[in-house]
Amino acid sequence: MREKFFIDVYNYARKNPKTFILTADLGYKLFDNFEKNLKNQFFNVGASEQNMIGLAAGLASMNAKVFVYSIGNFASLRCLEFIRNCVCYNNLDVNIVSNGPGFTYGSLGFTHHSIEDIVAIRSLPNISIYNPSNSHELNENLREILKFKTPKYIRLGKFNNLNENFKNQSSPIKPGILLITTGQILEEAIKLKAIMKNEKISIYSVSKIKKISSKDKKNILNLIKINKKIYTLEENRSQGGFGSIILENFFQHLKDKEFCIIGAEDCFKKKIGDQKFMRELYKLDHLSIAKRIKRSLK
Amino acid sequence: MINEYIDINITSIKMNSKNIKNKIFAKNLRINVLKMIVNGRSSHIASVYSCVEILAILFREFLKLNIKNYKNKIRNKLILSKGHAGAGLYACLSEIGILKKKNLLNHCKNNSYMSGHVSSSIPGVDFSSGSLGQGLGYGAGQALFFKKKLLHKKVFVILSDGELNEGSTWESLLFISHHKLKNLIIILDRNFYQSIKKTEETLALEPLKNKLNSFGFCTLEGDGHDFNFLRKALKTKSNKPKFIIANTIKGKGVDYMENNISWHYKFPNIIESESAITQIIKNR
Repeated sequence: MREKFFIDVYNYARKNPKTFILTADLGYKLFDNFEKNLKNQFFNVGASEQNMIGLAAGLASMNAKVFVYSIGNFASLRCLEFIRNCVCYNNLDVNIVSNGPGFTYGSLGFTHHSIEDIVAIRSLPNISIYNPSNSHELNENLREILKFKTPKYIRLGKFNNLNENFKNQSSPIKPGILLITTGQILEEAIKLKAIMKNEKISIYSVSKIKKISSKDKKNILNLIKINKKIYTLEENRSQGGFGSIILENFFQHLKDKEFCIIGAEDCFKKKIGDQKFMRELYKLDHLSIAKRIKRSLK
Repeated sequence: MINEYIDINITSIKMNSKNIKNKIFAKNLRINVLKMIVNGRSSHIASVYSCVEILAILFREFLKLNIKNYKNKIRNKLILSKGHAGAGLYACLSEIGILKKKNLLNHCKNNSYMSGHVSSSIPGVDFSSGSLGQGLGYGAGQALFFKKKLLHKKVFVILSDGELNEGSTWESLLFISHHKLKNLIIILDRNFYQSIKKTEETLALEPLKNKLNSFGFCTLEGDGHDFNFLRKALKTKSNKPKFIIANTIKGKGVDYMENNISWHYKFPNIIESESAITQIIKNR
């Protein structure tokens, strides 16, 4: 996803010289073209995320569009107060690109598990959060990202075929279970639907999650109305993240429903493994979710 | 008495000496800052007084900020990274006519924009600060923009001692040195105090000049209350980015405030205010 994203950013920056791209010493091979052809617009600032956000804000204060790049927690939690004071307070066009959301870098250890960034970033005013699950959503997000001159936080995961072939249902099917998801964990929802053929499962994926678009709101509301069990799924903490956003937005329509937020529980698990293993460990994989749903059906 | 004092109008002074005019500008700043801090029952007066001469010479001779250009994006910038000295910057803006004098009395008052730590909601203020160690990176971003767009503008950043405890300041120093941002001029208000105690008792900074030289800066050190030193340092040309260590006295200009950390927090009472004004006018 990041390659596709930065090809578009590169093309945009070539045409718009008031675009700057900063990386905090990450993105091996990703920025070769930038380094070669955008000498006055691309800078590797070294492993110094706080300074990177300060620089980005200073550049953006001169009406520039700035992209900053790092891995999950380093682009968010490490420099959170800089994002708050320098970027959000001044409502600047700084686009924080966070690679490897959730458990993408599972085996590298807990420092690289980016599962609190949505919670932290969504607490800040003025900033939008984009968490695309496939290239269709990414393209839609990119149009906004390149157009709007406000702070943005962008979570970039990996493409996979399951997600690529997915399309949101805008009109409700038969009553049953609604699963609202965000980001690349959409694939677990798709797998879940495949193994629970007897249940009527509708899946709805949201990529712009802090302030949900009116189109998504309308669609989700239609789906909530017809379904009895509403679940949210995210590769992020279960408290204060995407599930909470859905709850806050649709509170009044969830009164007579069974509502459940599925996300990483409130603890640090010390075992590590790849993304699939970590999802299983935190019970975010489709088999664990299926068990959970079956229990609630009894 | 505090409200009776009338500022001296610099333009009416016929003497040619820049230093005399700077001195009067600085005097006006100290008086107005006192009024603001007493009226707003706020704090950090001693931290403002240590950098009054730095602010005065920048506004009078280097920044070239005025009522006509303050809304422009492309102009010299001043980042007061030590945001707790905000009253000093507001007072400067009123001296050059961007802010009305009477508006200074909104400082730290309910329903005003004039926060104790400096706010860019006030016209002419380039950056809101208050969290230490954030202004230098922001200023470096602006300096980088000017350099890459071949715009001959300067960015002045005023740092406090305490900000040199913050890792982010050193991140920014590495960047400024690596990219040779010579259009960025750092002035450290070296009053040797931080929030609770002296810097050297808290987290030693010395030998600071050696540290900064080794980081690749042209480091100039001298009396931060002496306009001749400040002018010379600000005008010094170098192939390296410039870092001016302006040695100052916390609370400078009022005897009972000088080097007394309690004036990081207190505001003067009526008797103390009158004594302060008398001293500032006499310029002991």
